[in-house]
Order: sequence, then C-alpha cells, then structure tokens
Amino acid sequence: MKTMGGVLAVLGAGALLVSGWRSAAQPPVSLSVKMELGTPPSTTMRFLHQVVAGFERKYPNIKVSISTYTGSPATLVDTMVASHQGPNILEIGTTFIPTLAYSQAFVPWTPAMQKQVVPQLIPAATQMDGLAGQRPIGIPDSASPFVLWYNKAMFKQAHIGAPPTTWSQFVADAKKLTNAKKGVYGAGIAPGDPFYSMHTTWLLSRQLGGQVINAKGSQALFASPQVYKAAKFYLDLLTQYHVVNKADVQFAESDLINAFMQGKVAMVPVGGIYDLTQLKTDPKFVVHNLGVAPNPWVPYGRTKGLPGVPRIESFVSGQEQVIFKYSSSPAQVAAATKWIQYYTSAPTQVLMWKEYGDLPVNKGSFRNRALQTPLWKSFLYIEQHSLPTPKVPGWLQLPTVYDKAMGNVFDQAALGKYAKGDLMKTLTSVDSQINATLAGMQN
Amino acid sequence: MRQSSVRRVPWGFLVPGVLLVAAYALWPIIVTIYMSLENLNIFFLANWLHAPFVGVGNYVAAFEPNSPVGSVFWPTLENALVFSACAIGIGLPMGFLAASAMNRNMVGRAFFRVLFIVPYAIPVFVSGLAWRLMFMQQTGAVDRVMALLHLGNGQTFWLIGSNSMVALIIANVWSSWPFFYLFILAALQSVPGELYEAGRLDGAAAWGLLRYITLPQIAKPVLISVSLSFIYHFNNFSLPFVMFGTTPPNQANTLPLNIYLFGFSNMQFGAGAAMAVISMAIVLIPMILYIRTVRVGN
Amino acid sequence: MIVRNLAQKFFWGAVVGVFTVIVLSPIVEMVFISLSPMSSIDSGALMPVHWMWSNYVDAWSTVNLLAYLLHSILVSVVSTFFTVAIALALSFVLERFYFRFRSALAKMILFSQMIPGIALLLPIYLLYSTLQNATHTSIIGTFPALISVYVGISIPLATWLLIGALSGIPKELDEAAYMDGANNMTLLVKVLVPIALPGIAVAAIFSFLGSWNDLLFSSVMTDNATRTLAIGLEEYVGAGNGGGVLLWNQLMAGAVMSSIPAVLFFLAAQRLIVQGLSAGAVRQ
Repeated sequence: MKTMGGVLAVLGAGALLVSGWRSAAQPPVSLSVKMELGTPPSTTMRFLHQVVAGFERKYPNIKVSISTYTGSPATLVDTMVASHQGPNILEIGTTFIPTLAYSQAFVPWTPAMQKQVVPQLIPAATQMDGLAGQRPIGIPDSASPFVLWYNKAMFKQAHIGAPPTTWSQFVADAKKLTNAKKGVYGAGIAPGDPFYSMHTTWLLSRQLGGQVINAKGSQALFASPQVYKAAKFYLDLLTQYHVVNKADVQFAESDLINAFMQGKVAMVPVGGIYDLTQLKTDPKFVVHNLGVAPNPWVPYGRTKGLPGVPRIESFVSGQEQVIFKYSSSPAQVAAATKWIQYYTSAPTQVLMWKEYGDLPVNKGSFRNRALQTPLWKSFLYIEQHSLPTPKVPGWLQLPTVYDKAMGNVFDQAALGKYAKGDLMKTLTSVDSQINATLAGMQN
Repeated sequence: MRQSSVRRVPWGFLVPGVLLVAAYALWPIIVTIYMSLENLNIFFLANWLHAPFVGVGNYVAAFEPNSPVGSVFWPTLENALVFSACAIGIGLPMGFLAASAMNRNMVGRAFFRVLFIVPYAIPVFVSGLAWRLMFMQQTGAVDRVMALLHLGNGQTFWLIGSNSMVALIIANVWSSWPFFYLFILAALQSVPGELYEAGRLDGAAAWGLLRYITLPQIAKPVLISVSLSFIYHFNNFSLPFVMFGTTPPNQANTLPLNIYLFGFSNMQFGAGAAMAVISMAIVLIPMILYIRTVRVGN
Repeated sequence: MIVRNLAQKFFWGAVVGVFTVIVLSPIVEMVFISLSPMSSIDSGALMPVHWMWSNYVDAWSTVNLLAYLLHSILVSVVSTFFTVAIALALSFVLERFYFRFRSALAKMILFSQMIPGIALLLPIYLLYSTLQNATHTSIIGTFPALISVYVGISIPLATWLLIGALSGIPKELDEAAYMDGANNMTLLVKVLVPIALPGIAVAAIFSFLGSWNDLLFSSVMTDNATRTLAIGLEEYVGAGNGGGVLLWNQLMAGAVMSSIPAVLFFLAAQRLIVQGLSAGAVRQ
C-alpha cells in the first residue's frame, strides 16, 4: 500500500508539475489598446504607462501595447471596420457608441463585465452603452458631464447669489453680467464646434418635452415645435437677448473656454469638463473663481418645469472602451475584460483624476478625500442625474449635419443677414438631409 | 529609325513603378467606383463587398440639385472651382511679376530668390493654422492691421459667411504662388537672350518684347503649370480642413472637404465615393489639356 | 533713356518690395505669436507684450516634437529617394524605348494623378489590411507602409517631370555609351543622371513636399512610434479639440522650428530647381 501511495504521490506531483508547467507555458496574450490622447499629451502618456505597468504586474501573462490618437476618431473607426484590422480595445467618446454598436464590429459586454465591472460604476454613466434594445458594447472609463460653468468673482461683483436654475433667470443674470463696451458678456457659446449646438439643442428640447429624433431612430424631428423652440432660444441668446458676443460664432469649444478664463465670459452653459487641468494650473484663473452647477432646466418664460417632463440638467458623456471583434481572439477578449476592469477600478480612476482631472466613473473613487470637495461633489451629482442621448444608429449623423447647419445660421445672424424664417428653413433642410441618410440605414 | 528603338526594352525597369501605380492608383480607383455603386454605410462597411447595390443611385442623388446630397454637392463643387480659379488667377500673375523681377539684375537678387520660395516650404498645416488665428475677428492680426491703417473697423468677420472663402483664398495664394514663380522663373531663364537683342534692334519697346517674345516663349510652361495647379487645388483637402475643420461655413466648404465629411464623418461611403468619381472626371479636363500640351508618348 | 531706366529700376524695386512684405508679414506674425504669452494673443496685441522665449523650450516637452520631426524627415527623405529612383527608371523606359502600349501606359500613369487623396485613403488601407492578414505581419503603422504610400502617390508627377528632363538630353549620348559597352543601368546612372540632375531635383522637391505636407495618410497610417509632424503638431491643437486651451504660442514655436528643415532643403536645392526647370522639365 505504501508503494501504491508513493506511486500515487509521485503521479500526483507529476501531474501538478505538468499542469504547472503547462500554465507557465501558456502563450502570453498580447493586447493592443488605442486611447484618445488627453491634455497635455505628456501627462496622458505618463498616466497610461503607469496603468500599463501596474496591469502587467498584476497579469504577467498579458502584454499590453498602448497607442494614442488625436482629433476625430471617425476616420480611424471607418478604416478599422472596413478592413477588420485594428486594436483590441478602442477608447472613444459616447457620441460614437450607438454607431459603433450598429456596425456590429464590437464585442458585446462579456459576462465578466456584466458581473464584475458594471456594478462598480456610477449607474448613470453606463447608460450610453450601445443601441437601444440590443446588447451593450461600451464601458465608460471616464465621465465628462456637461455643466454650467460660471465665474464666481463676476457673480459676486454683480451681486448674483446663486447660479440660475431656470433659463429665464439665466438670461436675466447674463444681461446683468454683460458689459458689451468692455467686451464682457454674460454668456458664451460655441456654434463653430462640431458638437456644441447638438448638445445644447438636445438638452433644451428635452426640457421642453421634445425629441430630436423619433424612438425608432428613423426620422429626424428638428423642425418639430419643441426642437424649433429650443433652437430658437439658443439663437436668441445672440439675436434677442444680446448676452453672447458675436465673435463666439467663430468659436470652437477651446476658444470659448479661453474666453471664459480671460473673464470675458461669465457663464458657459453645456460646458465640458476636459479643461479642468488647464483651469487648475492657469495662474491667472484661480481655481476658486470657477463655479460648477447643473445646467438650468426650467424652459425660458416659465418658473416651473413642464408637467410630465423630468428634471434634465445634463446628459451622459465621456470616454468609453470597446473591444474590436475582428481582431480579438477569445483569449484577447478575456484579457481585454481584465484590462477594462483594471482601468475602471477605483485606484486607477483616482490616479486618472489626479493626473488630468477627468471625472472617475467608479463609485468607490469618490470615497477618496480629495474628491469630496464641493466642486467635485457637484460634478458627481450632475453625473448621477444625467440622462442618455438617443441610442439610435444615426445618432452620430445628427451633429455632423445639424452643427454645420446651425453654425451657418449663427454666422448669418452675426453678420446681420439673418431673416425671420431662416431657422425653420434650415431645420427643415437638416431633417431632410438626415432622413435621407437614415433611410439608407434601415436594415 | 533610331537605334534605341530596336534595343530590347528593359522591362525590369518598369516593374516597380508599374506595380506601385497599380497598387496606389488603379486599385483605389476600382474600389472607389465599386463603392460608389453601393448603399454603403457603417452597417455594411465590414462587408463592403456585399453592400446593397444601388447602381447609379448615388450619382443621381448627387446631380439632383434639390436632393439632400445634391443640394450640398453643387455648392461645394462651385466652391472648389472658385477656389482653384482664384489660386491660378491670382497666383499666376503674382508668379509672373516676381519671376520677371528676379530675372533682372538687381542688388540682393540671390537673397530675394530664396525668400520668395519660403511660403512654399512652410507646411500647409502650419500656415493654415496661423492664418486662422490671424483672421480671427477683433483679436486677429488682419483685423488689427486693417484698423491701424483705417481700412476697416477691426470688427470684420473673416472666418464666417462669404468672407470665409476670401480668407481661404488669401491663405492659399500666399502659400502656393511660389509654384508659379518657380515655373515661370525657369521658363524666363530658358528664353535665349539673343531673341531680346534682336527684338531691341528691331526697335521693340518693353511691351513689344513682352508681347512678341516673352509670352510666346513661356506659354507652354505656363499652360503646364496651370493644369498641374488646377489638379492640385481642386483636390486640396488639407487647407480647408485645417482652417475650418468639420463645421466649415457653407461658402468655404469645398468638394474634397465635402467628400470627407460625407464619406468619413457622416459615414455615407457610397455617396462620398460617387462624388469622388465625379471629381476625378472633372480633373480629366486639365489632364487632357496637359497631355495635348506635352504631347505625351509621341 | 536714363529716365526710363530709372523708372524701370524704381518699378521693379517696388515690385520686389511689395512681394517681400507679402511674404514676410505672415511669417513675422507667426514668429511674434511664437514669442508671445497666451494673454497677449488673447487680447489681440500685434506685438508680444513681453518676449517669451521659453515657448521655444516648452514646445519640445509639451509634445514629443523632436521624435515627430525626425520621423517626418526620415519618411520624407526616404520616400523622396525611392520616388525619384523608381520614377527615373520608369521615365527612362518610357522616354527612350518604343513598345506597344507605351503611350497608353504613359497616359495611364499620368491619369493616376487625378484621384483626390481622400478617395485613396480607404482603398489603400484595405490593401494593407489584406496584406497583413495574408502575411500575419503588422504593416499599418510602420514606416515602410507610410513611405510606400508616399512613393506610390508621388510617382506619376515625378515620372512626368523626369520624362521632360530626359527628353532634353540628346539620344546620341546613349549611342555613344552603348558603343562603349554600357548596359542600360550604367547608361542611366553614369551618363543620364548627372545631366538630368537639375530635373531630378525638381521631381525630388515635389515628392518631398507631398510627404512633408501630408495630413491624411499620416493620420491613420502612423502609430505613436511612427507619428509624423503634421499629426504631432495637431497634439497642441488636440488640446483644443478635446476642449482644453489651444497653446497657440507653443504651437507656433513648434511650427517655426519644424519649418526650418524644409526651408533649408529648399535653400540647398534652390539653385538646382531653377536650373532644372529650365533644363527641360518645363521646356517640353
């Protein structure tokens, strides 16, 4: 019996050895990750290298290669999808997610993501996850809620106690803050930006109970009464209330933030978060001058929200990570899941926030002391209460057509060539252009 | 009969060039034409070979001036033609004038000869961005200088409305006129000096020399430079993109930028490809002019 | 006569003066911006409120400028070399030999110049990805892939310019060389190239500019390790694209510094260009 046991023991040890040897010899998994280059570039790279080092320490079997891109990812996505070639993981803005889901080139959430990753995140942040009614594809890795920026010092000077919650109050405050002779304006907008007009109009029209596109995503509704009213109010800031500088019409968002930092603009509705690093480090704009509040939500001319319309102050926005189907083997999908889990874990998210000021999406991150200041609490509040924009295949096409058209309406207004009725004409033509595109997308 | 005509053709010399042209020109043309016949959007892109076939549908949509596609296509085509015509119409006389000056003996000629090419050596993505900054209302250098010289009130919008095309043309002419300058300077230098001597002996004045000697002598190189310049400018995507990005004013949205916006941004690859094919057909015209002038392959 | 001469002198002097102002003023403004603090750019001061030389130092660390600059020089120089070599061989055969379809081939090569760059992007990417699949190697994002694109799209124009340059060289030289026992290669390299050198410089300039100025292919065909200047400079702007503040002063400092290699290249080639264009490239 002894011998038997010995033999068994040896066999067992052998089996262990073999299995141990096997797992050690398991081919290492290579994982390519393409991230959007944040600002400043050197900070992004430093942060990413820290993440990769930490991740590879934790998973020695996975070898990560990081690359970055700048500018619009549209061309990148197009070439990836057409050629079936590209990185395993792509980081991309929420606006793109429904379109990417529609292309069917990205892997739906794996069970591990569903069970281990998603529950750790702020629920609102995960809403922009793919197409409505289909399996989600995107996991948020940072949030950028669009908020109302305001200059506290200028508010104090004008004896305005609190940021506005109604658009009427917004206009009244903006008028008080405007001193056109000095080139100072109560509000700032960026109609020359590729997404700003769409973001603003979506928010305003939802507050009015409208939708820019029908639920099926087959019909654009820009010429509908509510969206028209929303776009009209947006335009009126320049043409009727004169609370924004005409020069804003040539602005991209970066120019707008710059004007805000120079104290030429007191409030920026629907402003992004990205710029926080710059705002924090700019010696002239002391950080305690920066106020952050939810966007006003009560439609212009009203004191209370419309009945039956929820309180909408922001929309889900930020960066997400998606796994590219065609280039990823099952082993790589598993490795990618681990990467996304690691990237969205509380420590990594805090590191990300420290490095360049993006809002974490992991609930646990906010237990960190440094994130419990009023500023970051407001950001968290706004993020928690943000709603998703429509999750329809054509969502990306809406800003590409609408923002260009709206930019031209603002141009005409600034040049004094805007005639009554031009806005409706433009919105009707936006509808017909988008509908032609959507018609080709009904499959 | 020439000796070389009976020599064996070294086919090996042709192979790399022909292969590259096939890969980087013929193949893209075939793919583009194929895509232009499809309803190709992001949904079908992964299987672009099997997207729904729509025949000439994309072309019909582009040509129909009231259709959503055509209502954008025609104005952008017009913009591209205006853009190219101005590049030539302004750049050519500038090049001729500067080249004529540099063809004379003067103090510091070597310095100026080099100086005049500098704009051409600065990358378009650099000068385009600089011009965008300079054309900003109020704060830009153009508005500032004009206000200083009492030529404007310092409140002019250059980057929007119809002025945006003016700004685009100015930025473009500044960086591209040395192309004409180079071509014409070279042509002027190759005009034999004896012709002018003879002309002067015949009592011709400066105008006569220009009219009867210089212009006929440089006509051909000028024609070549005009066709090359047209092709380059008609297809110029970089400058409008650098200056106006993806939300250009309608007046500065040129055809190549529109093809990009339709195809890549809006992901209507079929419609974008159809517009690209039409654009190629238009470029054929100066191409044929070029071939006639150079008498290719005779 | 003297008066007329004086008037002429004055006229041409004025022409040169005007052109100098046209050429220099935007460049001076670019240099001013590059030396300004951001505040003076925002307020629209024509001159920097104080000279900020540190922009020229910071521009190197804000983005990886040195690497991008070296990548651009490498890609442009190598692609220029291959373009000229391959186009030279092509134009030699097309200009010096007779064969069926010669004229058709020549025209086809010229016609390939007509395609808008945007239409090339997707098909070339598809071609590369097919190659990647077939060979299991990574091609997209490497220097050779980018360089071959530039070579491929520069060949048509270069071939045509070189056909022009070669046609200006008497055929008797070929015969003499063949008599001396030269083969085609030695004839081309030893006899024709030295004479056509100016024409070659012209072709080189155009292909250099093609890759140096490219924005489109480098945006999707480069990786962090191969990124070129056009995309690299975008990183100063990328700050703006994502929302942040665009560092105009550092961007311009980077731009001014990165324009220097191209300007030097032109300075060196300038003499050759003018000679080259007159030697045949434009005198068909």
